[in-house]
Amino acid sequence: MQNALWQRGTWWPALAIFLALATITFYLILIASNWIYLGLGDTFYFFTQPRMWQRFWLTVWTSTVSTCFSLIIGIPAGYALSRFSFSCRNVFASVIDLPIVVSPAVIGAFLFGITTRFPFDLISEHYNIYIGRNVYGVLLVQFTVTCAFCARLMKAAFDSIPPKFESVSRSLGASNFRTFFKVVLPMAKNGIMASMIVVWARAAAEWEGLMLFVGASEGKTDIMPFAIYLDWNGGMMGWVVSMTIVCILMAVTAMTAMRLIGGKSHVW
Amino acid sequence: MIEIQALNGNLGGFRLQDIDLTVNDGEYMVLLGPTGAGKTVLIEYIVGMYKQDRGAILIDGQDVTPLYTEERNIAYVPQDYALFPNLNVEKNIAYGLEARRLPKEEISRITEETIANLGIGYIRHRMPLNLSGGEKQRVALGRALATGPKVVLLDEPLSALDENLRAIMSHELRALQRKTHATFIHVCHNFEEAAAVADRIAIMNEGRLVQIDTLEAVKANPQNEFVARFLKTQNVFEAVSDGKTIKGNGIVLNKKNPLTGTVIAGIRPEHVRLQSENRIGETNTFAGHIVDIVPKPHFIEYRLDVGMELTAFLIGDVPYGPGDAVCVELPAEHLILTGKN
Repeated sequence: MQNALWQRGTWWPALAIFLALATITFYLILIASNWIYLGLGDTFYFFTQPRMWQRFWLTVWTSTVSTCFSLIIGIPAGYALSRFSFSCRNVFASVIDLPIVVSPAVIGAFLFGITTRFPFDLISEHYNIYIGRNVYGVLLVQFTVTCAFCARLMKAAFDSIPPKFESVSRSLGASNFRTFFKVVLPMAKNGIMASMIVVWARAAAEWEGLMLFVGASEGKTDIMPFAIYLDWNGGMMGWVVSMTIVCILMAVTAMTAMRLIGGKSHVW
Repeated sequence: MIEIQALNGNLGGFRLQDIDLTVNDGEYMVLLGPTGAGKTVLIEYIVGMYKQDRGAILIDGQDVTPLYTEERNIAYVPQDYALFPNLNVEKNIAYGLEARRLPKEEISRITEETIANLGIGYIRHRMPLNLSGGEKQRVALGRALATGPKVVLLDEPLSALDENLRAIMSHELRALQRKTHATFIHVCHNFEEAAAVADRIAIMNEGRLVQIDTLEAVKANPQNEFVARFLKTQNVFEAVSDGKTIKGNGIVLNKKNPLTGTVIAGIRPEHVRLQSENRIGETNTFAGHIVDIVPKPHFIEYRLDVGMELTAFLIGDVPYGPGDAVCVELPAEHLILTGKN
């Protein structure tokens, strides 16, 4: 019987499914242990504190705004990478990949360097705009980290649309611009929506760059992951565990939405 | 009228070489050739997807090569029609009219006319995903013709359809072209499909145009061995001609011809005749036997051995069976002779 099982090759799917289930179980235990550690009473206490919801809404709105800015740049950049050939295209593609492969801490340090030097220091002084240890700094870090990521995802979304649709549209008299808005964008809609959620989740999870460039400022820059780090250092384990639960719920919601929307696209 | 003059292009290593082609107003031209011959690439150059290395494309005397695709007034229907999946049938047809910023009443009138002409009123609100292959083709044609293009380019428009529907749609295509008097350039690799629709055919191979003529003329006088074989002449063999006789594969054929030396000889299977044995010895008749008989929908295919293998297509019952001795006649008037490639 064992020999027959081996010969039919069913051991391989069985092993693969077992390993997948074991991995999922491991993560579920991690999440559950947090909740067990916190207990029902403390869960209720921390989840009803204004400090928790102030940090939650700060995370949500900063991630949403930075995602919007990333989309404004990322959609055209992704389209350009997907469709047009131009000189130094590979160099451009490598540069845009940098924020993906380089640690966000490096980006934080880079932003700190650039915003304190000519001409940005003069510009910010002249217009009395300070970007640093405030919410603008949070937005700048989130934007810098996610913009390139967004462009890459958008490229994948546009790659899934066969170029012949554009050729047909243009042969019917539509300009490049009209073709993009009337044909390409609607066809890439699911891929763009799914990518947008991933970009949002990436922005909401950012903290290394914030640590270097923005720093801690209670009620101003402490988005969820950064607040977890700060409270960990302060030994406030109840806050840490309750916020990790919120972060996990946010991530699960985002990824479920992405799969529901992106399931119809070729990107995810 | 569309004129392609000495068009040369290089696309990822594939070269389109010295393409000269003129398609008259209201003509149905079929670009015919095997896969990889460059037919689709030529169409894409006409559409304006790529810039050529040399040569020009003229439409009604105007050089359109410097123009963008949207300025050429060419309608392009790709292989699987590329109907915009986010628009319903009516909006797909109106797309080109809206892109040209026609008045709303005009868009509405032309769209209605097109829908009525093609008989697709019953699917006007359907999305492309919910259309059959034939319906998709009608919608794609309607969308292409609604803008009143000077030239309609069809890239293998029937390849996605099953055999029965292909026959029906090829007749519809021809009828539509006659009705609209538009100039059609149709790419395909199927001889029967070309025969059903074409006024003239242009045969392509390895990035070059090999022969341009009516189907009958090309069948009667294929320019070279490739054309002869591509048009399913089948009984093709190498021979030596002295201007009066053609010798090859163990048989001697009599036919006065202007060629001398090594030639390619052939005869279409429908022109091979089976005679009673007592005619052996007459001009161009040979003793042989039937190797196999394959019934086809509209004829019977006989595989013969006369010292060389021959194929004959005959209609109706012939009183022979496999292994029977027969007399095979290759009529001189149907012999095709061409130089080597």
